[in-house]
Amino acid sequence: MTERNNAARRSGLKLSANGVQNLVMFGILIAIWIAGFIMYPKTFVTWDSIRTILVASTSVIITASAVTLVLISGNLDLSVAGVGAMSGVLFGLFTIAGIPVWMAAILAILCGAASGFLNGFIISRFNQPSFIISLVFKYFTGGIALIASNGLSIAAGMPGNVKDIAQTVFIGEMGIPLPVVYAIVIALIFLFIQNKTVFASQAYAIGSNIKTARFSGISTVKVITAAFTFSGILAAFSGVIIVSRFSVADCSMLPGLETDCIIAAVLGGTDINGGRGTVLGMIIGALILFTLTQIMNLLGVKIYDQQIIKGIVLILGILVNDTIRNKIRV
Amino acid sequence: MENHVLEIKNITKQFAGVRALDDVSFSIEKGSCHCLVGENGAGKTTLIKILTGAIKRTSGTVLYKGKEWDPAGTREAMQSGIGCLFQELNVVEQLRVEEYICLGLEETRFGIIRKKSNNKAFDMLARIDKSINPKQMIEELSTAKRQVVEIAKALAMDSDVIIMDEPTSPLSGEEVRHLFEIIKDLKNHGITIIYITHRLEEVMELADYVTVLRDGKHIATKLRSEVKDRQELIRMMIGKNIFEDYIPNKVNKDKKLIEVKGMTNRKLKNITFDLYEGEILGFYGLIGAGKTEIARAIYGLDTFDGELFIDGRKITSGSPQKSLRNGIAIVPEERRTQGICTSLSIVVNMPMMNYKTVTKYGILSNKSQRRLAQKYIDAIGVVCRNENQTVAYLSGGNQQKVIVGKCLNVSPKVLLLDEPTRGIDVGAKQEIYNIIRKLVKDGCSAIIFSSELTEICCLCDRIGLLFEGELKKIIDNDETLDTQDIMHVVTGGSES
Repeated sequence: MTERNNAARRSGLKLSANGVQNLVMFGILIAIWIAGFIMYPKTFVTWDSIRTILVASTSVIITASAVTLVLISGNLDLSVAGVGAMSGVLFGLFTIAGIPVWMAAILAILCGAASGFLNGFIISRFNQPSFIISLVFKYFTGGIALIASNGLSIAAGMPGNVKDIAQTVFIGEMGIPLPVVYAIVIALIFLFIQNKTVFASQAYAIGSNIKTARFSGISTVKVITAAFTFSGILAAFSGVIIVSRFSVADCSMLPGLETDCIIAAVLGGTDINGGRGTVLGMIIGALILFTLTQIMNLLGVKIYDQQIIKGIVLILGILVNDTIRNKIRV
Repeated sequence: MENHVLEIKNITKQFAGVRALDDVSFSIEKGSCHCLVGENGAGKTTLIKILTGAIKRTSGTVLYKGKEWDPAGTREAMQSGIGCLFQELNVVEQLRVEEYICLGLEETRFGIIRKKSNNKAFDMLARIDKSINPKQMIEELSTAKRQVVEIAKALAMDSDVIIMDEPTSPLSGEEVRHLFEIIKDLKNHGITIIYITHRLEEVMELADYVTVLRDGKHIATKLRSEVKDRQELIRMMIGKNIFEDYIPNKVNKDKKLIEVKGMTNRKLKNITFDLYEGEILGFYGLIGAGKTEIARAIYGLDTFDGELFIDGRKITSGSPQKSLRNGIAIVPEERRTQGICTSLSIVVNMPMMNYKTVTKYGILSNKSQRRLAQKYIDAIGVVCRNENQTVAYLSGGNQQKVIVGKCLNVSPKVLLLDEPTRGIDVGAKQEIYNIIRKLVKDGCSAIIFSSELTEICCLCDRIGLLFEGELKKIIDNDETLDTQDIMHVVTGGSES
């Protein structure tokens, strides 16, 4: 028996299903880059162009790093745009109130963490559908943003060093915006969390089959609450960065962040029903999305038409993922 | 050959890395009952899926009534006359019987169903089982009746081949008899039955022909009259002789690992028993007798009144986490929905009950995860591509072995096994028995909950007999064991 197994194990593909998926999506990203390079050999592969793509995708990459884990655990987090707006507005108000900028940022992020914690706790402790509970939290946090800002854009009285958080640092000639650095660091941290922690491994188990997870002695409340708390923290951080970048706090910033995060994750192979997906895949998905936007901008495609093209790309991406998942059967 | 309704020629099906069918050829005679037997993973289900168009073959040909057969999907197959009763019945529950039977074959005029045209379907239903009222809701019907409805539906579509995949596994003895009568009646009407089962007694009773598959290869197609007995079939199926008898374990009667006193809850009445070190204790009873409930209560999934001592310590509020910490692991009743995460790989499934073996300073180590998976793949004999294979694509027996591996990773002192071999073929069953025996030899104790008496008798040192939530009797597994007596007790007979 053992001999037969060893023989079987030597042959055959070594990759797991997630590995195959990431490889394919990475191939597609490269193909898009090559296409962009062929169309615009002079302008597409310049630091300016790459920086535009990276900066545009920071909010999504930062927030979706945690949202991907939420999705892996079989839940949806629709509250991130609301949490981001709430924390952004609070951050603005804190700085105006004279709290030092870094302190204000930490407080604002703690508010996001609290919201995420409550969100996840209610979902997991009382076995409620995350779709509804996180939607409630979207309104809840959005409401706080509205009340705090009185529905207005807040700019007056914000100290000048608010901009410090999102400034551009220079390495020689090359200017690197700090949000890009944050995005890279956070993505690396979450790549580590997803690959190397028991927490993430348990999130996969819960997302794949919550009954099995319970039978295996996994605390679903702890894991799901932690995933949502991460999501709250990072959504809040995205809000803080946006306020810092533009020196304006507005209760309608980060529009559609929740859907963008889910789209990037799903494009990167995350299963909306849980149990499958990777942070790396999400990053590839986000880059595909924003690279396409960049190419379309260069082509002069109108912003309205871009929506339709993005929709088509998304559907194609989902179909490719589905084929990998169900037809190739790794 | 004119009386061959299906001719299967050199069929091969290749999945990623696995050859599920390898050059299979045989023919099926019209109006016969053709039984297909083989271990799990032998390729029976794959073959059926190819015949019904659910999947495409890699190479080879099928002739149906002498013509090349390559259906685009199950729908086309059904319309052309090949109907199928799948293992899990795909019955839509919120419909009436009449609506369900007509589903997909309504004759319509301008999109409106013509009532009269469906009479044929009802005639069919009435012919095979008069007790089913077409106005009844499907959800009110028992599994057996649902099968009858499925058969009626297949007949209404003028099927001349009906495939039955493990039809009797959810049925009671009486219902099985009824199904067999229906099958005989169908045969008399010239309808061909392809019958797949693990229960060899059924093969011996029903079959006109038997085809044995093993590891995707065609081993033999024989007339029933040419098959001497079950043993011969088993030998063909697994290529080795498998029957082993009960071997007593070294029980240390001085040490009680588990003590249960007066365990009572919604389903259980005053259950009291002890589990000794090195013992296999069996619980036998019919479905609903309370086997699973005892397992769940001990494992901390259900609450109960009464006392539970593990290793001499009283357990007040249990939970799976605590049980695992105390060295109690469980192989749950439902393999796919409780035991494994099907969409994940073997590597990810293996450490799920105890991550301590694969972490270093709280961080997962890919290397030790891989080593752990490989260790149990080898130790237990899981047949797979490699440790990265998704568990969904393993056969049932191999999935069960992955679950046992999961439990072993806890280094359990007590292993609870709830229906450990349900839906698993004979060969894999024997392998699982051997794993359990070896485990107990190495110092673990086990409680087996099963509705198969042979299984209980060949493994357990003592047997607890359950009836309607009550523990009627605990008997020793020795020469005095009387199966008649056991059946008497578990069916509610009074004590003699």
